Amino acid sequence: MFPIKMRIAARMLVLSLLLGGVFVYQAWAMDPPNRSEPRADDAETSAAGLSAEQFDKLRALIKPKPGGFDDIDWMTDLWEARKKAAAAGKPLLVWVGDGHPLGWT
Amino acid sequence: VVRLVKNEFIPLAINGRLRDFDDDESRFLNKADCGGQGRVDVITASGKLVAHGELQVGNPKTHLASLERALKAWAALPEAERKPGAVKVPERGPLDPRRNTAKGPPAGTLIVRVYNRQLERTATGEYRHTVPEDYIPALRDPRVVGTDQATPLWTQPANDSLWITQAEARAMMPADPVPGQRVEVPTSLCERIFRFHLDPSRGLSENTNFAHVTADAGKLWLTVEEVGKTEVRLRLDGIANLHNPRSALLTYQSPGVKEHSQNPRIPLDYDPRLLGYLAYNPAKKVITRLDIVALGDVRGRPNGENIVGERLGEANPLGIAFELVTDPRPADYLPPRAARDEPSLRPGVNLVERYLGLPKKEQQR
Repeated sequence: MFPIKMRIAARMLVLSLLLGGVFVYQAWAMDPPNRSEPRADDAETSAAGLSAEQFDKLRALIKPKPGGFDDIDWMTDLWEARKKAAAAGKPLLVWVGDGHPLGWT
Repeated sequence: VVRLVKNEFIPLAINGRLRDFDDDESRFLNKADCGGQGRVDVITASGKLVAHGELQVGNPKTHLASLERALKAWAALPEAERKPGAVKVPERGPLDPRRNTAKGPPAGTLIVRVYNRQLERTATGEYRHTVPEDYIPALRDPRVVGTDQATPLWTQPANDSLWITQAEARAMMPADPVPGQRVEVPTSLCERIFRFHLDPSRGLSENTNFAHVTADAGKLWLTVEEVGKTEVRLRLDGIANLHNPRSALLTYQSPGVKEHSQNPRIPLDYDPRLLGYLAYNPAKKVITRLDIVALGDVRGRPNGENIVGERLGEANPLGIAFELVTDPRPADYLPPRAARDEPSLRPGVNLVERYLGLPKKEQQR
């Protein structure tokens, strides 16, 4: 599987081209709920939508497949990584996001 | 690619916004020309740039080739840059106080990995991964989005983490469990999940669509299923009715949305059902398993401000999986998305405090 996380570059390009709007969002977050759909009062009758049989299948479908970039022990401390690279005589592979790439969004 | 990274590199993932501060880390990254948005760079421990990597989401061969080129460039460096122990890394000076980054959760906090994934239904009603053809045509058009890699991104899961406080965890472990007993999920945890962890924007944007909702936006409860000496098992059931009116869109929509969106719906709704399993050791009072799946249809563009991740059709399935971390790696200690420091976006706001609802003294261990 190709790395699930290696998406920042294309994402940022897309975002820049399609126009961002975090400041628009700031206003949304303060909007009061305003809806006519049923609320959670009938939760216990309607929560029967997921079965135990579906559970494992769905969980496997949602999670990343083993063997991808999730299996890499990414370090997150720059200085610790520098020390480790110096001691091991290896280059640093530095993955950078606009925000943190391990859960940027 | 993964094998090469594991064997030949020290992999480091960092927030590119570190470059905006004033401390040793910021200066190091800027000097190395390392830390541009969305990049993979190969550098030496001393800070010498070896190569820029290429990110091609749908093309691992290109990515592999860029790493192999970087290794050749590395091999051509003098031994003073490469030999184990040759580079002496100085002590790091104080970090810029504006970073105010939580190093990890408070003591006793449970860390739960969260994966969001857009799904699609098959003709027979089963669920499957999305494919590029499930997205609106504009997102598949490099003339619009500047890349042919956009939709492959969104067929993959997004990742986040959920923090559960020690008090919340204890509340889910009844002292004298009896099969069939109902146990309420703490209100504070319900609210955190509804606000921050059932969001169709995860993986697509930094937006938080449901930060305004309260615990009554849904219900989560546990039922004791099995009681053993070393393990008690419970099932989690739940539902959420999450709604964002996005009223700002009534007066402004971006040109990209006006031109390319195929979904005129302004509000965003996500009404997932949840099912999960929790187990704990009654003697040690330790939760040993917590797996939850949320599944429901998203109505409305996942992002209000743009068309990122916009699907064909009016209602599109979104699955979210939660999984307790029992053997955390360094990356697992990163704060959840909603608790991550972003001083440039939210100056003066303590996001960890807001996220957990804890007094300041309990925020960081």
